[in-house]
Amino acid sequence: MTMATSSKTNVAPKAHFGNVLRSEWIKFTSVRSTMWCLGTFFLLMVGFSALFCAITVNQWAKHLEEVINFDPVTASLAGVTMGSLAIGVLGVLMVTAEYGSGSIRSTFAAVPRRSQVLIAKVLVLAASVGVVAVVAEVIAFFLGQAILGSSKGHGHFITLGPVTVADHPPSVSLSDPGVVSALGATVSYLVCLALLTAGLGFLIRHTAGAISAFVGILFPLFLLVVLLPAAFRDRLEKFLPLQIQQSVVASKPLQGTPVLSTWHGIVVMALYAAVLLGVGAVLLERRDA
Amino acid sequence: MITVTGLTKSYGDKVAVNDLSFTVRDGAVTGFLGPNGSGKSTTMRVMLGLDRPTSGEVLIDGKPFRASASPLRHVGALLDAHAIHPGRTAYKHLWSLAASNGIPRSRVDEVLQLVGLTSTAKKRTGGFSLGMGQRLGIAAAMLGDPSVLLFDEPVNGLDPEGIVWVRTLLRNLAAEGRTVFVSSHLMAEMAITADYLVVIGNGTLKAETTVDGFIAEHTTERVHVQSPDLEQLASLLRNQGATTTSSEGQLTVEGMKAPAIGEIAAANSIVLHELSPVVASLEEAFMELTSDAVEFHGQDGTNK
Repeated sequence: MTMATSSKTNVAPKAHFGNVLRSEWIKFTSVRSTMWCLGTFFLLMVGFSALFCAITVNQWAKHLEEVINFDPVTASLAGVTMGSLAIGVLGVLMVTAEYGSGSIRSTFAAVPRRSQVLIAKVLVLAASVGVVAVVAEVIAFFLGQAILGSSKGHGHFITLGPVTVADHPPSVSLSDPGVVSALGATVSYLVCLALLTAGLGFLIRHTAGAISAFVGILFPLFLLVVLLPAAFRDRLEKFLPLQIQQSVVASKPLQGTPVLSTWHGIVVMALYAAVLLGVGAVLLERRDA
Repeated sequence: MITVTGLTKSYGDKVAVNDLSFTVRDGAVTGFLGPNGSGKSTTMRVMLGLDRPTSGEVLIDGKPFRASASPLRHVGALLDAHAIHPGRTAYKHLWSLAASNGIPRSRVDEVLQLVGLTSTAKKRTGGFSLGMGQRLGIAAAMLGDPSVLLFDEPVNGLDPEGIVWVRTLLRNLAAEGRTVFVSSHLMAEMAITADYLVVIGNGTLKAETTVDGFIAEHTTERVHVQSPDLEQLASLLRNQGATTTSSEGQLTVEGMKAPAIGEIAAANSIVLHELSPVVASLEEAFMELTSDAVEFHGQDGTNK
């Protein structure tokens, strides 16, 4: 028996970064969890936002607070909180699934320069989340505005304490001030969140641990900070991812709670992601695979 | 050629490999033998730059593996057959690895055919048997048509036909001039497959030799003889330079082969009831060599 162990096409181009990027793209698109996470994000983003807008139409002008703070853009992006959970899981899994299965060893035996793997993963993740987030948000926005604008009321005005408002919620179009900026900032927020969770994945390397850390940063940390004395709370609260999210989805400045401005919030999120990925990259080179 | 020099690897307090030095030659199969937990996999992970040595170094063709410009074309490895994402198909798994080193996609089909997985290539690997996993791992190792191959326990989980196939493959790869380093805890398998042996126990080197040398050194041929004239035969044999021991009417002869014993008996008209050569197995020799080093002793089931 003769065996064709040799390849006839034995030209040897040097391993370069484009190849690593291509490899990561093949890996990312060849597991079901990617489609599940992005699909779940899409459904939550579009579905939850539409539901929120429909409820808003139905319950309009029942509470003063809601009416004066109402932002049609925020309403049509209401699914972002739930959707961001799916994005976070995606970022974690992209890294920890390889550690969990042990296939990270095949990866590093093929690409011993580990930082190239990290950078390729980051680019594939950022591009995918960016594209899907743009599509989901644009659909959620138009659907949400259509639902908000579907109620023309009776042309009456309602008096709620000191203010008088229309008897139906306002809606906006893409060209209104702050709209494109809010959509763009929300996409950026989601991309940063995905990278932050990939960083957690590189640090923690266990799926359950990294997802717990991600959810912990979003919710329990938020509760903890809110319980602090007011002086500390006001200083810290605005740096929390959930709080940053509140400001990025808004098309006008938020009233009441202290928040960072939209783009300051994005810079802070990007810094979080950069720090976690940076520490992850250092540990990646030092630790045994 | 792989050169391991003074390699020590500790995980916390536990020393997995202790001051290990040996070389793996080109154009030959070198068997890496040791009981479970003796440090074989650790050594192979260090060779691939996956684990960082505590001290010492491993050079592959004179350089550390992590410095390789085209890793898969230089070194192919099968480390753990089940270390594959269970949700990915065999084809996509191999394709992603090939792509990372700029290896053309057509090579994926070639290696799938080589290992006989063409028909299951589009199935998710989660449903693969251990044997199929081994074949996929071997396919991955062959992707870059490398000059150095590392296989960690490649015959685990393979059926007899698969074992013969791996043995033939390893022999062929070595015959093509490649460096083939293959670990096993089965002495008998290595005796058939390998040219050279590196034996470790408890993380330290126990032997570095040729397979033939190991067999010659560690097997003594004995012959069991039964005869009504045992005393007379024994003294005749001793006169010819053999060593004899007798117990319960049976003579055990060392230092003389069965035909010679038979001829001496015939020349002296001595009746033989039994004349049977006994070869101490390599497995016994291997166990003796590493007996102080077996980390996980099983109990034999009797209460002492």
